Order: sequence, then structure tokens, then C-alpha cells
Amino acid sequence: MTEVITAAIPDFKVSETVFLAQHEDNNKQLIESIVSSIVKENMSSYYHYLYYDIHLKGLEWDQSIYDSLLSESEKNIKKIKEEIEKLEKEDESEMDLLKKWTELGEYYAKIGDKINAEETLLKTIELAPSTGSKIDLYLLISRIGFFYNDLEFTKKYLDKSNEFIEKGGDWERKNRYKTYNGIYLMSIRNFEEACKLLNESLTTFTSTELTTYEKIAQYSLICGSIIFERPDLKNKLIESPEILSINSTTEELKPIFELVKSIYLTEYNKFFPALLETNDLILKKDKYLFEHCNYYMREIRCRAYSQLLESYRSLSLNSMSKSFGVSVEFLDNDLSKFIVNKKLNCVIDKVEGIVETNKNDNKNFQYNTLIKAGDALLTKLQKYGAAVRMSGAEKV
Amino acid sequence: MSAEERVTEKEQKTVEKAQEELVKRLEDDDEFEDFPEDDWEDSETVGAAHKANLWEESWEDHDDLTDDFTARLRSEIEKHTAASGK
Repeated sequence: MTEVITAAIPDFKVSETVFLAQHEDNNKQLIESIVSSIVKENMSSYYHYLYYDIHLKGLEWDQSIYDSLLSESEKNIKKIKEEIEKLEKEDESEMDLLKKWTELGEYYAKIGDKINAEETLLKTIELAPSTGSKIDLYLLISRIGFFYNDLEFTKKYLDKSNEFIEKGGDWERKNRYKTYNGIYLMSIRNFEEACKLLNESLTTFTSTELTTYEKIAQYSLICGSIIFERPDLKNKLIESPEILSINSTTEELKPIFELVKSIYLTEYNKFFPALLETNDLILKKDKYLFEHCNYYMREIRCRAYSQLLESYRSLSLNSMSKSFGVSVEFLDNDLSKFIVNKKLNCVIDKVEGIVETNKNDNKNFQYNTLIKAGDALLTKLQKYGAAVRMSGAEKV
Repeated sequence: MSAEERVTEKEQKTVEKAQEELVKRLEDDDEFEDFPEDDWEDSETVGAAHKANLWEESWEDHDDLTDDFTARLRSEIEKHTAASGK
């Protein structure tokens, strides 16, 4: 089988650079690279969006650049539209027409014209004869959502593409969807479901139009590090042939790989330095993970602490802080936050300077989970009831 | 027809009448509630401007805004490397 390479439209690298430029103080070089991409690819609408909608700091408005980009892109759009008209008049084959429509949609997507791209591509989907090409087009629209970090937009079109995938998508498209959905779920903090999809994507990855393979490996490690049980940390991450094959050559995997290793091998003294690097070099630099940085930092600390504590009935604060290579005050302070929130099942005895674990607190734990789940269910039912009443569906 | 039966008959009539009225009123209510169907999407509603996140936020999220763990961790690690370097 020949591998189908889908073009990176819109270019996710540009959107990643924009993210970095938004969060870095000295972003001169980043801005330069963004402007050069804009000029190279004629991204007139995107230029307008960056300056007027998100007010990208450091970006200057040059009307003459914008005008020339705009006239160039309008010329191209006009040309494609004329070709479409001609094909329609000549009653040419539907395939040719579909190709031209796709070209127009892709062009809009490329220059960052979200509204026209969506509209054109939806029209194209109506023309598309096969389920396969419909899926491809829906995935393309969802990429525009990823590009603009519009999660609701992304979800809408991912769902659409899934409808058709269930009707009859081939493996290649199923795998592609798996990667897309994995990234989407991770970006809405559903690490548990994302973890499975991303880890499976490691063996089937072809979606170079959405992200890089290195990123998928990074995401698998990040999600896996808080989701997988300890044996899976080894089987699915540390000894995964896919991760191992790129690990030594990929700098950006190092911090998170070290972090996972420190948990698996219980080398807690390496935990915090690796965590800090993961924060600085991965979480804060990734547009999908950035929002979940604090959440991730909490979950992973909780995991490390409870893994160490569960082997003991009690442990002195002193020895625990030595294991983690931090001061007693720091650890005491940090542990207490987790204990108050019932994330760690233990108490600190300040007088004796020890941490005591409450192992046999299963009943209490079950009780608390039940209350929490019941509460969530009630809220959902109330919302559902209100929705039914509002829509008047109850009378039917 | 005994007096008793007549009473029940009369009662029944009143009941029927009351029921009819009730049905009528309910039907009126029905008509009143026949709003045209919503032809806008959720994203276009007034409240949509205050966009909520798609994930569940816990109160710790806000807690963390004032409590910079990474900054504390950074200084802690620096202290530690400085101490072990001596």
C-alpha cells in the first residue's frame, strides 16, 4: 500500500509558533518567522486575525503587506472559482469538479479564512461521492479548529467524521481519526481516554498533517504517566519499541521520559528535577497542554507521593523528604494540600514528624466516591429534566 | 330513579363539565406554549460570550493561580543543588 500523505493544511507549525510567541517575552524571532510564513503562504486572513483578534504582541501591522497579500489571495480565489464555473458549464466529470472545490476549500484554510473555508468545504462534502472522501474533508475542517484552538468547532467536525467512519471507514482513516481524537481529548483534560488513543497511535501514526511523531510520543508519555498502572509504565512507555526508537535522538522527550522512569524505578530523588524540566520544556510550550499544566503537576505529584507512601504504615517526614531530595518544610507544605483535598489518604503527625497512612480506609473512600458520583448524577438529571421541559419534548 | 341516583347523576354531570373545562384550559395552555422552534445554536446565545471551558474545573484550579508551585519547586531545587554542591 502506498502511504497517502495529507498536506499540512492549515500549517500546524505556524499555529504552534504563534502560541509560543504569545507566551514568551522576547518573541522577536518568533514573530519574524510567523511573518515570513504569512508572506510565503499568502495568509492574509490569518495576518488580520493575529493582529486584530488576538492582538499578538510584537506583531506590527503593515497595510502594504496586507494589501498585497490580499490582492494575491483574491486573485487565486477568483482563478479557482472561474475554473469551477467553467467545469460546471462544460459538464465535466464530477471528480474534476470535486477536486477543484476541494482546492478552493484548502486554499481558504491555508490563508486562514476560517468562515469561507468551512462553508466551501461543507459544500464540497455534499458533492463528494464516497464515504472516504467525506471523512477526509471533515478531518480537514477539524484541523482548522485545531489550528485556531477552537475546541468546540473541532469537536463538532470530529464527531461528523466519526459518523462516517462508523458507516465504513478504512483502517487508515480510522487510525487518523484516533490520533485527532486523542489530541482533542487531551486538550479538554480527558487524559484517561486520550491516553489509550495516543498510545495506540504510536504504532499507526500517519497524521503528519496534524502534528509530529515526536509530539505523539510526548503526549503518550504525559498522559500515560498519570493514567497507566505501574506495569504499563514499563510495557507501554519505557520499553515501547516506538518510543525507544526515537528516544535517544529526540531532546524533547527526555524530561518526561526521565520522569516516567523515576516513578517506575522509584528513583524519587530524580523526580522533582525531571518534573520541573517537564513543566518548563514541555507543558508550558505546548498549546494543547498549557492550560492543564497545574492539573498535571498535581496529579503526577499525587501519584509519586502515594506510590511511596503505600508501601509503609508510617514514614518519617525526614526520610521522605530525603528520598525526594527536598526540604521537610517543602514536603510538609505540599503533602498537606493533598491531604486536605482527600487526594492522599494519610495524616501528618507534626509532633513525631511522621506521615501515617490510613490503609484500611476503604469504606470511607467508597462512601466518598458514592456521594460524589451521586451528586454528579443528580446534577445531570436536573439539567436533562430542564432541557426536556425547555424543548417541549415531553409532550411527544 | 331513586333520589340517590339522581344526585350521583347530577354530580357526574358537574364532574364531566369540570373535566371538559379542564381539558379546554389545558389545550389553551398547549397553544400558548407553542413557541416557534429555536433556530439558533448554543454558541450564538447571549451567555456564550462567557465561554466556559470544556473540562471540569476543580477549585484547585483557582487555588493554583495564587499559589505558584513551580516557583517554589524551582527555588527548592536550586537550594538543594547549591547545598549538595558545597
